[in-house]
Amino acid sequence: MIDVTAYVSTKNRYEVLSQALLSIALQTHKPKSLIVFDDSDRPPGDANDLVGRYPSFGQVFQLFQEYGIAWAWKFGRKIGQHANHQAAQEIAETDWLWRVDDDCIAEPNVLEILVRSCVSGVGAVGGLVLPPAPLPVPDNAANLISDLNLPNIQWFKQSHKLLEVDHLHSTFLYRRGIADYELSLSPAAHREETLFTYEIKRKGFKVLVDTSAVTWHFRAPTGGIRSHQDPGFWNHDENVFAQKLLDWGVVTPRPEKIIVLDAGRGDHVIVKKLVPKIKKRWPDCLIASCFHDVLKGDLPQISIEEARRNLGNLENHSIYGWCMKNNWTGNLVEAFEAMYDL
Amino acid sequence: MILFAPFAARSPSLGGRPSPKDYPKVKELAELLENEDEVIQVGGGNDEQVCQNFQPNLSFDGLGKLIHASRTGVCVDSYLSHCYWYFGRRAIVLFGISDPLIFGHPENLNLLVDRKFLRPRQFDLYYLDQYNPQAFVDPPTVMKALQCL
Repeated sequence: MIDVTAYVSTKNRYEVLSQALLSIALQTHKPKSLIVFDDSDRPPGDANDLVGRYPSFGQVFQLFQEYGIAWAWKFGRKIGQHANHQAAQEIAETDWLWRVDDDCIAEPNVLEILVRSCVSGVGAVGGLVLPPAPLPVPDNAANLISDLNLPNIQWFKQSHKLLEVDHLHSTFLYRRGIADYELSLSPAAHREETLFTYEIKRKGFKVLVDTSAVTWHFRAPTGGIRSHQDPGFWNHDENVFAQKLLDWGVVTPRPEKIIVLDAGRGDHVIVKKLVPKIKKRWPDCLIASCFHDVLKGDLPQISIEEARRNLGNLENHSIYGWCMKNNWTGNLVEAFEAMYDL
Repeated sequence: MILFAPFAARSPSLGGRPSPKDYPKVKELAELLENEDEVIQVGGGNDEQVCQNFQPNLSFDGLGKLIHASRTGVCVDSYLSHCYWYFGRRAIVLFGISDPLIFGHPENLNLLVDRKFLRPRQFDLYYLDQYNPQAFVDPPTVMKALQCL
């Protein structure tokens, strides 16, 4: 029997947090204990206060009691989730820790599946972390540190496999004390899990993905890291990350072309129509867009943050900024064609 | 069936104000359209419902199916106008302050009262502009265009 401490770092997401905790309570392999690290701006005074404000927590706490899962609610230091993850390593009494995002709902068998990989030589194991209506996995996704431009393999539905990877995302089980979280990151803690899990790999432990363990990620629009919108935080973290990669001697290939579509839905539709021309002109083009459903399956997608890491300041990639700069008077379709050199 | 999108995307920067791209006489036009044909209003979940049948937040594919099933779409300069163009169908697009020569598609029927209402800096953030209901054609003109389509 593997004893596991589950924990959640949360900020301003009480509405969804109770669902995440409920999914932890209902695991077929029960964690021994649960810790919530609460960075919220208006945290509860105590459990009664929380239940008074959000009654669903009362039922969750009853279940923890029913299942004998010791739970603790701790106020975070409000300096970012990475500090809470590090604190979890320091105060947990089990060898294994299961971190769960506060806007996630784990299927009941996730922990049962993940603990099967808790054998000698394994440092961390994650499952799939799927958005609603997940897409099939792209051929090139492999979660290698040298291919950070490619989509994260944990985001896509796929048949059962146990994969060895370089890094993990979001919600995973790991062995306590192998690596430390990077505490020089900003409160946004961008890249914290990539840095942490690759450090585990660098220490000689295997990092795995078991694709039969499915956690649903509903990406709460506010709270969590989305409380930290200061672009300075993201730039800082990207710089920390880039320096780490440099220190580790990791070379990530720069894609030939990245299209950044940080624009409205209508603009996405125009670019969608231009995809055949884009593919012809830029066969290896990646796209970072805001509305993934419009361009799904058209071009390999990366996140806006990933594009920022490759391209730096993205202001020069705004179609409207480009039009202003070039005193454009023609049609917007032609403007996209000119901007992308099609 | 006619798809109707009288509102532009809701930018948080609007703070609840109407978008300068929103159609002004929306209820009057909605009533005329519903007297003419079955109408499905599409748009964002925070849009005001002005038709009996309102289907907000449709996926791209879901909207595409409706576009193919529709007679046409009546919309402001917005997502729906580009979607009709993408799917090779013709929409009636109600322009006000944005220039149809820039943001419109010649394949659509673009209606504009007068170029004097166009904002001078077309590529600035549109929601910074003052709302000007005079910049849009009136509902009877839209209905005439519908008959001509």
